[in-house]
Amino acid sequence: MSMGIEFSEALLLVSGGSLLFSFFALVHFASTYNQHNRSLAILSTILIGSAALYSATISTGHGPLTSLEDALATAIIGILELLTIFLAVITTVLFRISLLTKRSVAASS
Amino acid sequence: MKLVERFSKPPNSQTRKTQESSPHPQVMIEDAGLIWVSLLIMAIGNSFHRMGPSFERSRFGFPLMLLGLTCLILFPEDLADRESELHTSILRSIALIVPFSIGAILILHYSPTYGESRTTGLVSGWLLVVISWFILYSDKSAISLSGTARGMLVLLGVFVSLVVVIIGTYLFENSSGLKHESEPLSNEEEGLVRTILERHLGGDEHGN
Repeated sequence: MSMGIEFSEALLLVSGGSLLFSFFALVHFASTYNQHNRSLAILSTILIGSAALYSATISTGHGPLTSLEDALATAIIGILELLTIFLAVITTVLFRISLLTKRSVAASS
Repeated sequence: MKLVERFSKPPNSQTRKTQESSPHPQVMIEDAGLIWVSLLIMAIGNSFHRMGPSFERSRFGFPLMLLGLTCLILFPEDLADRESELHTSILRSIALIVPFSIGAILILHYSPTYGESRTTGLVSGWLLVVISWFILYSDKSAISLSGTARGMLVLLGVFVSLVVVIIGTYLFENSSGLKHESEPLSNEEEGLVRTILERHLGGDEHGN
């Protein structure tokens, strides 16, 4: 792959992103449990998480637990690499709000 | 590492850097696990916080997030390569995000668009934003093409999962027969709802 990223690393990064999503979604489902919620979103989250874990083990060649740890750590570091872009976008928006716009927004009912 | 062990450690003892060189590998595993436990506590806190004031557990959200963040910053010490890289990356980001967030809040609060326009608040907000950009640029490894490409691949994984979960949930719920319509309210329930609405909105039986 271009820019010095090998296929196995790219696979680990994509599966890490999926595992990160599944991790947060499952934590959210567990933390916000209430007996009236009948959503089946948890099933598809477990499915995509399992598939991502399987591809992470293929990518690293290690056991599931080590692969899970590797994939999640790689994904978090990867997301934090994008921080500069996020900050640049937010700074542009703040610049527009505070320096270029003079109109005040009235409270809506 | 447990706090008791850490404080009882003699000051001249050498810090272990790798799992191989450690005479007690389980000590390092505890510290590595502490990072994941801290992230888990923060995620649980965030979920509790997002539930809103109608739920009793929502009041534990913010304290849990603070607890997780504190554990993440203060406690991990002897880490393996991967966890050490993760910990450093998170700490570097926190050092950047904190002044930026405070600055952004000040700018929004004192900008002419949303809040009460005040130049001092606006200037101090922009000062914090500029400081965070200065911190970012002082770190030479902050921006790289390969780093951005890695981040994009992670985002791709997140978005693919999101789409799959949405489609999967739609298919599951369509095929499972859970899409029944609710039973209509009974007369007693209707009366109860009417009473609650009248009490809150201050109307009478004629809708006035």
